[in-house]
Amino acid sequence: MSDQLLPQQAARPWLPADNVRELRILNRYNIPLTGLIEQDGVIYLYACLLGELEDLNIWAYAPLRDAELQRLTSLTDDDLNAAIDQVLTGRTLVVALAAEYRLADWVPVETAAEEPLAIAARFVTLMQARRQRIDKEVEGLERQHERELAGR
Amino acid sequence: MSQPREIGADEYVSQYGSRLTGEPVFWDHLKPADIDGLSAIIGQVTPAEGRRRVRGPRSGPPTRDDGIRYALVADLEKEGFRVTDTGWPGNTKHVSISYPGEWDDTVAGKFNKCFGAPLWHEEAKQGGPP
Repeated sequence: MSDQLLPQQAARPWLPADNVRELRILNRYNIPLTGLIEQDGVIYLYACLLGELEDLNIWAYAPLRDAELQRLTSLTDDDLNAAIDQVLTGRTLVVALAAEYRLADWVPVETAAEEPLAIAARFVTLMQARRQRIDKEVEGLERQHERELAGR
Repeated sequence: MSQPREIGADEYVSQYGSRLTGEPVFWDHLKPADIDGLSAIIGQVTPAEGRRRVRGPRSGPPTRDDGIRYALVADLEKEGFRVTDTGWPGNTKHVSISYPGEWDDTVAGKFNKCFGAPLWHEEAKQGGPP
């Protein structure tokens, strides 16, 4: 079984599916921005990567190892925020787009030793490529439909 | 983390905002509606500190789009708001500003009235308040 989080359409980014349990909020500013959640026995870190004050935002979900969990629950302020950034590198994350504080779309993203903002930028590129692919497929369907109508 | 403490009426709170998307954004409504108050930072912090405490180091260095505005706790209380120490591990200076009733446009107006004009990062670098 994959240890990647399975989000749900229109869920709150900080509680990303019906079967997710909130364990701890690590930071909040108007809305929860980073925290720990559990789904199917796996503990995840969630973090808002971009758009903390804006209506459109990008979120990352990372499965945690025991030592990381211990670190994230024992640090505060800058030390904690630095540890959060470390957890987001060198693994596969689920990165999601939320509009009006509801999850809209997501993809898995392999991260190397890159900064979280670079992860968000790569996510945007992936989403654009996916959207272009879908647009092309929709155009293909339209052409097929027109041909079928013309052949009647 | 330390125990929550009483916030004094003579203390200031800082609200972090941004003009990243063009217009200045300082939340004055509960959006989404199922949250129970707005956030601020205790004391008069700089836009750079506000950015760090809200967006984290992951967001990179401060820019001209980071802003902060200040309110005296006594002014917020006079308008009916309650300011409570609700520090989070990621921001131990976090305070919550709640209102005992529906947070509608009138309440948003009262909220905004308590705050001064925003101080932007470039101005703060040139020696603006605090």
